[in-house]
Amino acid sequence: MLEYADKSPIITCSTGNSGNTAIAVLRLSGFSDFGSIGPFFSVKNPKPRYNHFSKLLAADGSILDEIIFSFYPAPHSYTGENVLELSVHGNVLNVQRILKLFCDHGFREALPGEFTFRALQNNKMSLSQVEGLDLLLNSSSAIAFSQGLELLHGELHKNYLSLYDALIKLKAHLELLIDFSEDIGEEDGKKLFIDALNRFKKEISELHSRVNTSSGSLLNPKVVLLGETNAGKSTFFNLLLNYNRSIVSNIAGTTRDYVSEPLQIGDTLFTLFDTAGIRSTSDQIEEEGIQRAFKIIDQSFFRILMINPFETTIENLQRSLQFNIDIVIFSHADLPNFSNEILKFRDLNFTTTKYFSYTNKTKIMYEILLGPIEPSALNSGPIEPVISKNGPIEPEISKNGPIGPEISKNGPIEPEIYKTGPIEPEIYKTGPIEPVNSKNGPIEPVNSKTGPIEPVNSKRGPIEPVSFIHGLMLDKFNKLSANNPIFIARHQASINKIYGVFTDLECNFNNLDDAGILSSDISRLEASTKELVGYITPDSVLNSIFSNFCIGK
Amino acid sequence: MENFDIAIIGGGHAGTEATWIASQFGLKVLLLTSPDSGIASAPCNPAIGGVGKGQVVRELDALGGLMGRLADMSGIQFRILNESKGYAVQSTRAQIDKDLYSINAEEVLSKVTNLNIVRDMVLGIEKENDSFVIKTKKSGVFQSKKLIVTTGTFLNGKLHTGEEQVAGGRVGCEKSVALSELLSMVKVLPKRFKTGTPPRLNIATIDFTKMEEQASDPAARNFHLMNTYSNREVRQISCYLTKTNSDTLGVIRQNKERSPIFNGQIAGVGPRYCPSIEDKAFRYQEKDVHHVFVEPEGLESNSVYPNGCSTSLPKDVQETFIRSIEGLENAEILVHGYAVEYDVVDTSELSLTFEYKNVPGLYFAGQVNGTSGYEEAAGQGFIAGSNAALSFLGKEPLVLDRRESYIGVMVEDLVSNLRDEPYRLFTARSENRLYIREDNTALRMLPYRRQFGLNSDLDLFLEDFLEQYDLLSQIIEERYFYKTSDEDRNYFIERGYGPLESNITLKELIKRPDLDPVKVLEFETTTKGLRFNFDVIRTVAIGSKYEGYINLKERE
Repeated sequence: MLEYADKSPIITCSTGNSGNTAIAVLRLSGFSDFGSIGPFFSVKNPKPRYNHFSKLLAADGSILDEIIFSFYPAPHSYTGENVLELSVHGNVLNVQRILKLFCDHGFREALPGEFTFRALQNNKMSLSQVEGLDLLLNSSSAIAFSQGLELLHGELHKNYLSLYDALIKLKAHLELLIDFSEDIGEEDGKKLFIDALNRFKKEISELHSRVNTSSGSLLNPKVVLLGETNAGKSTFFNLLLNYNRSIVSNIAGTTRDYVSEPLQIGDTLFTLFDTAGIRSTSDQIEEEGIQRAFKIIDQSFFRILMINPFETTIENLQRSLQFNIDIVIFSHADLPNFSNEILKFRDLNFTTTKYFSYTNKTKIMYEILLGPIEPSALNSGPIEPVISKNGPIEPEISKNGPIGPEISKNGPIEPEIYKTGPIEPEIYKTGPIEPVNSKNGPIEPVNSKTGPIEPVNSKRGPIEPVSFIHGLMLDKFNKLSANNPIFIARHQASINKIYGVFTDLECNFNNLDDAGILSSDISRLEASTKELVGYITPDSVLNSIFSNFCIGK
Repeated sequence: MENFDIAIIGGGHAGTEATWIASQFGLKVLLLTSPDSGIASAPCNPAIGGVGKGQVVRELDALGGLMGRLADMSGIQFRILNESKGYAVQSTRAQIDKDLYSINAEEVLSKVTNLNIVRDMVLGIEKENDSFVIKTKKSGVFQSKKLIVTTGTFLNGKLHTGEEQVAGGRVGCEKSVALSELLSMVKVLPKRFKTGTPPRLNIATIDFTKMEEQASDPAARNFHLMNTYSNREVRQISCYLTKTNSDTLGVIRQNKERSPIFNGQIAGVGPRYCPSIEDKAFRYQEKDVHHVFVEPEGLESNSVYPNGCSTSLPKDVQETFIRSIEGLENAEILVHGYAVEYDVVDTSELSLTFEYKNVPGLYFAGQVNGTSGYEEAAGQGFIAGSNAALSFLGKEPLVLDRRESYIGVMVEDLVSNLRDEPYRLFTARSENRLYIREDNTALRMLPYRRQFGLNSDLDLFLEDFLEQYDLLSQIIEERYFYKTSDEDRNYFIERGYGPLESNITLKELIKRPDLDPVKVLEFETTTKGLRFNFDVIRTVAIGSKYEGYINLKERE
C-alpha cells in the first residue's frame, strides 16, 4: 500500500485503453484547484457538477480536442478531492496525447484502485463499500453482482455495524457488572448482560448461516469435468459447450493441462473446465497437469465425474473420490456388455450422487441404478420417465426417490433395507425398468428413428444431456445462493473467526464466575469484529482488496 | 523569605501523598493548606478503595504511599467487591472514620522533620528565574524550586444548592482565586467541571431496622502490605442498604425547574458514572428504584452519608425526597447536598510526570486535573511528588507503564486524551486487567520502588517478597503428582482435586478450572511445612490461574 502514499494529482482513462472508441472518459483527482489546470480549458470558472463544452488546449494554446467536462470540487466528489471528468474523443492516440499533457504538468497516471483508495482514505467509502465495488465490477453471477451493489449501498455493512453495536453492548454490560454492580444491582446487571449476550448470539448466528464454504466458489462459479484419462471428458465438454474446443482423440492423455470456456446460463456466467485425466503417473509433466486439475476441481462448485467402465476400476478412481461429486457419467454405453461392466462400481458410495450412462453415438443419457438405493424405489414398480414435453428434465426424482415422510414415521430406515435384502438383486430382480417413452417419444430429434440404445439398468427414459446438466448446475447454484451467502472471503473469514471465539466464550460462560476471563474473551471478539467492520485493517487486507481493481475506479 | 526545595499547595489526598513521598527523599518540603479543613479530609463519601480504586490504593502502598496505611488505621468496615466474579476483578473497599483519617494523616506528617506545614490562603504565585514565589494571606512569602498544585475544586469554585449560589470550593471553606490569576501561563479547559455530594443525615433520626445490614467482612485483606492480613485497628461497624421509590423520584421530577443542573444555572459537566439523583430521575424516567447505601461517617460521628443521593436541589426538595425513603422518614438533614463547579487544568499540557510542559518545575495533581475520587487524586499526588523530588535530585523520572498499573493507565489517559467529564478509573480502562490485580501489587511495583534508591522497611519487605515469590514459583513447577502412585491418586480423591490421569505438576493442579487456586496452594504449602507469606501464596496462585490468558493477550 506504500505506493499509494504519494498524494500527488492523478489521472487515468477510466474507460480503458484497449482500442479506439467514440468517447473516452478521463478522470483527474487531487489537483489543488481548478485554476491550476485552468490554462488547458477554454471554459473558465466552471460551475461545479455541471457539464461544460470546452476546448482542450495544449501548453502552447493550440487546440487538442473538443471535450465535455464536469468539475467536482472537494469534498463533494468520488475521492473527496477535487475531481475533473473529461469526455474526450476516444481515439487511443488522442487519449495518450491528453494523458501526456497532464502528466507533463504535475499529474501522474493513477495506480489500479487508487481513486477508490483515496475515497476510502477520505472516508467517502467504507471498507466494505470498496469490497462491494470490487464485487460489482468483477463478479460473474447476478447474485454476486447484487451483493456488490448491496455492499456499495452499505446494507451488508449495516448488518456488520449492528453486530458491532451488539458487541459494544455486550462489552459495556460486562463492564457494568464489574465496575458498577453496586449501583445497578447484581441481578439487574446479570439480566442485562444475558440479554446482550443473546442478541449478539442471534446476530452472529444469522451472519454465520450466510457463510458456507462453497459460497466463495459461487462468485465465479466453476463447473469441472474430471475423471481418468480417456474417459470421454473432452467429448462431453464439447457437447456441453455445443462446439469443438478440446482436442478429441482416442489416445489417452490428450488434455494434459486444463481448458476452460465460459458458459452463460440465464444471467449467470459459469466457467466450464475440462481437466487433465487423473491417473497415477510417473510422467512429471502429466503429474503437474493433474495437480493443476486438482486445484480447479477443489475450487469448483459442480463436479462431473466421467468413467469409462471398460478401462477403469474402483481402485483407479481413488484419486478422484476425495472430492464431492455431483454426478457420475459412465461413457461408452453403446458397447456390448456395458451393463455388466458397470456393476463393478456398485460400491461407489456417493450419498447424493446420481449415475448416468452416456454414449456419444446417440448423445443420449440414461439415469441408471447403481449401488445403494432407497427401499421405496424397490416397490414402486416401473418409473415414469419425467421427461417433460418441453425442455430440460427437472433434477428432482423426489416423487419416487428419496425417503418420504411415511418411512420416517415408521421409525428408522435400516430394518426395511434388511427386509428387502441386499441391493444388487434390484437390477436382476426387477429387470429393466421399461421407460414409457413410447408415449412422448424421446426429446432429442437426433436418432429418433432408430431409437436410443437403452441400457438394461436404466431407471427412466432417455435424457437430453445438455439442458439436463445445465439444469442441474443452475439448480445447485440457486440452492447454494438461496440464503444470500456472503461472498467476500475476508468477511467469511472474519465471521467464522468471530463465531469461533463466541462459541468458546459460551463454553467458558459459567454463570459469570470469572468476569476477568469473560472480558478477555470479549476483547478477542472485539478485535475480530472491528476487523469485519473495517475499523482495523492490516495493510495486507487493503493490499489484497486493491490488487483487484482496474485502473480508473 | 524562606526557601524550599518543593512546595505543595493543597492538603487533600493528592497534596498529602505528594508531600509524604517528596519528603521521603530528605528534601526541604513545604505544604500550604487551607486553614478551614484538616489534612486529607474526605468531603464526599466516607470510603477508600472500590473496584479499580482498591488496586490504586495497593499500588500506592507498595510504592511507599500513605493512603493504604491511613485507610487501615481509620477503616471501620471492610468489604471485598466482586468477590463472586473471579480473582481478577476483585477489589477492596474500606469505610473510614473521616475524622480519624484526617487526624492520622496529620500525625504521620507531623513526624516528618524536613516538612513545614503552613495553614493559610495562597494569594498569588510568580515564577522568578528558576524558582516560584508564593504569596500568602498572613504568613508572608515563600520561595521554592518545585511547585505542586493540588487545589482540588477550589480554583474558581462555585457551590450550588437550589437557587443559592456561593463562591467556594467546599461548604464551610473560603474560596480560592481563579487559576488564571494564580498562574497566568497555565491553560484551563474552556468547559468547567461539576461534581456533587448528598445531604448528610443525623444518625439518631434514622430507622436502621427497615434497612438491609452490610457487616464488615473479616476476611477482607488490609490495604497496607506489611500490616497483618485482616486484623483491624479500630472497631468495625455496619453500613445499611435502602431504596428510593416512586415518591422519591416523583418529588424530584416535579421540581425539575428548580434544579440547577436542569434549569441552566450549572453549566459545568458532571460525571456520567456518578450521577446526581436528579440525573437518575430524568435520565431513567421508567426507573424509580435505585440503591441508597447509608454509610456512617465515623465511629463517634453523628453524621451519615446516604450514598446515591447526590443532589443540588433546593433545601426543601431535599428534605421531602429524603423522607420518602424507607427508614429515612424522620431523617434530619445536618448539611444539605450541593454541587460544585470548578476550573480544570488542560492536562494535555502536562508530561507523564504531571509537570506542566511550558513551565518547568510546576506540577499539577488531583481533582484540579479533572479527575474524581480520593484514590485517583492520591495516585496523581504520588506521581507529581516523587517526580518533583527525582527531578530536583537529577534522577530518572518515575513513569508507570499502563500495562503494569492502574496509576499508569490514569496518567497516560490524563495527559493523552482530552475529556469532557471528570475522569474516574474503572477496571475497564485497562487493557491488561487480568494482570493488574490487587493481589500482585508488590510484584508489579517493586521495580518502580527500587528506582527511588530508598532503603526503608518497605524496601526490605518487598525484596523478601520477591525472593519468596521466585522460590514458590519454582516449587510449583517442580512438585509432581504421579499417576502411577496410589498414594497420589488417593490423595486427589480425598482432596476433591479431580482425576489424576497423567503426571501433573502442582502448578497444573492449581490451574484446574474447578478449583480455587489460592485454597489449593495454601493447603499444599502448609501441609508440606512450607512457610510462605500468605500474600505470596495468593500472588503465585492467582497469577498461575490467569497466566494463559495474560500470555494470550500479549500475543495479540
